[in-house]
Amino acid sequence: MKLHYFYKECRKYANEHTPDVLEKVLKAPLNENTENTSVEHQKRSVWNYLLTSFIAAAILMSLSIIFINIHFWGSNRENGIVPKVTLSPSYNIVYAMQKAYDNVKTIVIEGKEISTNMKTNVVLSNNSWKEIYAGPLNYRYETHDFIRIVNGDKSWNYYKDLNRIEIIPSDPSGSPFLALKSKIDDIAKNDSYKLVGSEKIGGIDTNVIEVTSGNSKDDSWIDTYWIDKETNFILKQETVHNNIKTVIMYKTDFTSGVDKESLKPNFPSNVPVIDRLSDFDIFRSISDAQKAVNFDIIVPDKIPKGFKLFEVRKYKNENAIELDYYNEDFTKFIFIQEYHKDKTTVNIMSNLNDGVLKQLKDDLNK
Amino acid sequence: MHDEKQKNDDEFIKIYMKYKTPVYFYLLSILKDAGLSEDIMQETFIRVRTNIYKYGSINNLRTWIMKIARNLALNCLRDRKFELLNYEEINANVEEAVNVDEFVTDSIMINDVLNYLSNDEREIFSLHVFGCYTHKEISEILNIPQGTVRWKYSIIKKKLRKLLKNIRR
Repeated sequence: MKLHYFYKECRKYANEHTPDVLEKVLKAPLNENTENTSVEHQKRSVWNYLLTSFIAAAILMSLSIIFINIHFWGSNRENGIVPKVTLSPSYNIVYAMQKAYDNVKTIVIEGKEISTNMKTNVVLSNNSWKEIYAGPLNYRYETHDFIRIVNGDKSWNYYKDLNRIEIIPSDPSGSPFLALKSKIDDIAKNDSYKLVGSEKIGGIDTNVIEVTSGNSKDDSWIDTYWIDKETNFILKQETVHNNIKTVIMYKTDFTSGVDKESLKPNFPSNVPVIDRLSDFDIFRSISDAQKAVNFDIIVPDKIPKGFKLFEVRKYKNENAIELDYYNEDFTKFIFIQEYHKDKTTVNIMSNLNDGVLKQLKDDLNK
Repeated sequence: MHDEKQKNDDEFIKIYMKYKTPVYFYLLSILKDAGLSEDIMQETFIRVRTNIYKYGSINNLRTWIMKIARNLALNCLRDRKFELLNYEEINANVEEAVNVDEFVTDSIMINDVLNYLSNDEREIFSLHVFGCYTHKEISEILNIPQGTVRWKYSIIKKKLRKLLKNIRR
């Protein structure tokens, strides 16, 4: 039998054996935020919603008390006691979260990150950081031994233990807030999340969503996020991958504004400053950069939609350049590094998904 | 408002009629359970309908629908403790159990063919055959490079040719 005939048979069989669920789908209630067909319907939806929520909450509380023998409030997911129930369409929560982060102009965000080996219970890392964010090129990132201040086209990096400050070209990709925003965009885009319940974290009501991450079915893992129901910001994130559990607790202040003084590079005057800006020539276009190097700069034929060249850096003492592309809100980047000696070697780095990255690599290697 | 609702319903029904078969058989290729596939198919189209109401139209509708179906199916597998690991093992056993030379039948059952392919191959096969998805679209849905899709599809064709050569028609 020929393959094309077999395919035809398959399609015929499939058309005849597909169940019909149209009626059930049309009868299924739409989300109350999206239907808005009439005032009566809205009222009915609200009452139905409240009634359903009340019943669901009562059942959850009863189950928790009867079977788990714990206090319902303050129940802790880490102990595996949150009932896995789908309460409502999770995309509204993710959509609201994405909007909340999109609307941020300035924010102070603190993270406490602990990684543990689940087999041995050994704590592998325990770090805290704080970021004062006022824009992709205007932020301060601080840990116990490091401060980075990005202000315009310069970035000051203060290494406390080395007692040294280095000035380098500014870099939006160093902002944890933008990295988090990038992650949220990926979650929303990939639609690989589901609502698994709700929980109180430090007295704050949160929705709990699980997100499937990974490169393939064989290498996937679950990230869990606890999202503040009121502000839609993430309060807690937990990732378990290869027996390593990482928990990040976020503290977010988006109402107080930022202290502009903290965004200025005011460091102790006795710390030596190394100005590395003189190591680079910076260009805003490929054509300008091309004039400064003695090899043909390799440029991808097709850069993903929305990306723009941010800058081209030429290392003065080397026959090498770096092309930095960013998307509109600086959450996604593509860095292409080219080094020429006999032939041009190209390296590419990006936080885009593997599929897009592979296409770029293929394009550059042509 | 009612006109808009009717318009959205009409648009949704068109989409449903066009994608119901590819969605169902794609889900079947992942879940290997007719009842479960029907449930997830229903959930997939509920999400599609809700978003049609919310946004009016969706970019890249073809791949978007299949991504929803795939994510719901994988969530379902995880939730129901289908044990993905065992799932792989079972599939491997099925492959070994089928003796190609003895596979002679007059009535072609799609399930037999699906069992003959590995999990990844089944997904690619059903997207290509039932949904007429291009390699590029399949690579977007499965989040794997186009080259991998092309390569896997060539393996599928080889396997199927081998399987079908014994079936006279």
